Amino acid sequence: MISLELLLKHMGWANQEIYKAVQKLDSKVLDYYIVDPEWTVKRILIHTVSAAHSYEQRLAGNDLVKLELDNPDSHEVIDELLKHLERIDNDALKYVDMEDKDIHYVLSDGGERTSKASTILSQMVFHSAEHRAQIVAALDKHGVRDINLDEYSVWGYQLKTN
Amino acid sequence: MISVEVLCKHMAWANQEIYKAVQKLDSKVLDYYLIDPEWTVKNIMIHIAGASHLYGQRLNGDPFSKFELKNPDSPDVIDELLEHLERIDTQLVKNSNLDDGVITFMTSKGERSAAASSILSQMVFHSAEHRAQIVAALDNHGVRDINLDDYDVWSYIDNTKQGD
Repeated sequence: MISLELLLKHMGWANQEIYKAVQKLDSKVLDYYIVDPEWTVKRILIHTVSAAHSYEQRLAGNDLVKLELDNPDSHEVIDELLKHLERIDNDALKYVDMEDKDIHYVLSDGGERTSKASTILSQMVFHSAEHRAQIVAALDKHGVRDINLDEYSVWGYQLKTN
Repeated sequence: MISVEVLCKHMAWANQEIYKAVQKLDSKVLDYYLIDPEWTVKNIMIHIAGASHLYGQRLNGDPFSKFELKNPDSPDVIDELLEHLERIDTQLVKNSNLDDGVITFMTSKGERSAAASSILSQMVFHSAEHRAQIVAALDNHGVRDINLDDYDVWSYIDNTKQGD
């Protein structure tokens, strides 16, 4: 059986690399979006981390505590997000060796749900990959072509970290 | 141990669902792109299936064969791509239960080796990333029919009654 471990390690690496790459750009890029002004680059950066935070809480069996940021409206939010991602993504790796058990949790709207650990971990990997692509798409749309997603593939991860 | 099986099954489902959703739109959307005219919706759709074809060959231990399409310039190409994806992704789900070992394969640049986990993980990641780009290109032209939230892992579980 092929483990989810490599995709979790890749996610941790790609999150750090893409967030740091965005951090190097002019801060005005944080307000860029593809078509929906609600979904700016900054909003997607925060949303990706906030969701990962809640997924990790479910895996840990903790009660839902919303992710709080000290500087959500500042360019420095990226420093905060990088620290949160490092914590969350390292913690997520711990669960890859666990039994694929049912996990019961409370949703942000107060509802309840039970999911397999494999479902939560898989959603965590998928969710961040999809939103990293959207971040780069929003930059591309505004002619900011500094980030080439091909460099952040699984092949890219293995070449850079071996 | 948590395996990649759920993500492989989700990929297979999401590929079918998104390609079918694009197929329902006006065929002119196949020429839409975000910023690079080389990367139209159609080219991204072909690229995902073509890359998966290569990754699948490597995992299956099959000899190299080029990904060929009968109607690459027609909207009918989506039917072809859906058939290819079903074949490739069905086999991939079986491969998620393989023992992880090193696979040697031929590329256009000669012989290469990679762990089965690397090829499989890249395949899953690659299609997820490019599906998001397809929808971004549509969004950019005001075609908002496809909401990616409907194609996440939660939706896969809910829509296929996987007993989560």
